[in-house]
Amino acid sequence: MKIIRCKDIINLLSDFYDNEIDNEIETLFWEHIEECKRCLSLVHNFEKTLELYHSFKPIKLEPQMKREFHRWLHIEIKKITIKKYKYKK
Amino acid sequence: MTQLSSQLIRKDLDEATLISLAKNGNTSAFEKLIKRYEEKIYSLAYRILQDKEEAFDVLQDTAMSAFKNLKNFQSKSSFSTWIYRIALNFALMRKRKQKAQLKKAQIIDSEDSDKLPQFAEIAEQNLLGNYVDWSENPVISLENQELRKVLQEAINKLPDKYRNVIILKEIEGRSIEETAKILGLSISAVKTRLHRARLYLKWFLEKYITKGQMV
Ligand SMILES: [Zn+2]
Repeated sequence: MKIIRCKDIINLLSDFYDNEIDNEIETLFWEHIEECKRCLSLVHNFEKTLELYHSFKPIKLEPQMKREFHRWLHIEIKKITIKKYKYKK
Repeated sequence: MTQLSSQLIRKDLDEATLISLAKNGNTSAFEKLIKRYEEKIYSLAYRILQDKEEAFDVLQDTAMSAFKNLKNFQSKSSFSTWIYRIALNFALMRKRKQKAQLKKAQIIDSEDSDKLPQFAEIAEQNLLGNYVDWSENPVISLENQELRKVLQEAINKLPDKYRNVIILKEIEGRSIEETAKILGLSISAVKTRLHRARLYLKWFLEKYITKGQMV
């Protein structure tokens, strides 16, 4: 029978969080955190950290920047295309 | 109007068609293609550079480079991965310049230039002393401006190899598989870096919480 120690819990945190842990190990993981208050806190804090990062607001291009980009893109690629065409001739 | 340009009016034209039109020199197909990714490119660049103008420059550099190199794009790989990779490289190049300029101007304070502890030390710290569960503390929320700054700073302080994984996977929401492809790493390497980066972020946050005696 394998034993899971506190150190193993630290190494397994991501696999546990991502649901990528073997069934057998997961049972041992649960058994450990039910008994070990420190590791239970560790799991909670780990999950809370990620929850905060996941809820960062998406970064949006401001409408005016977007318009500027579209105008710029349209002109620049036309320029390149014309240059290429002249060069081919 | 030719058949092709009238087709382009359709918004739902699939990506493969847009790519093949763009490869054949149809500039409006290329514009459409880039517009599908402009927000994502900008967002990725902003996360890395923390500066609107620099992120905008990355968007322009990426669009230009994609236009010039589209002929080299192999349709069997994913366009999104390809363009993300270009954007990431431009953003990282600028990041290096930013860092060099800050160093020159000696704006980086002594704390910033401190080396991060080794990952093993970070892991060990979780085993020492009294370990407090702060996850339910109401102060630990994104509503808290100061905390948001701390979280952002924590990302900035991560070494490149960890920061890239965190930004792509945790913040921009790419899958582990796509993150691996964008960074040119194996899946297991991404998983290892992701795990370490997550523990670093937790460590930064904990340092702030315990120093500030919030718990
Ligand atoms: Zn334990």
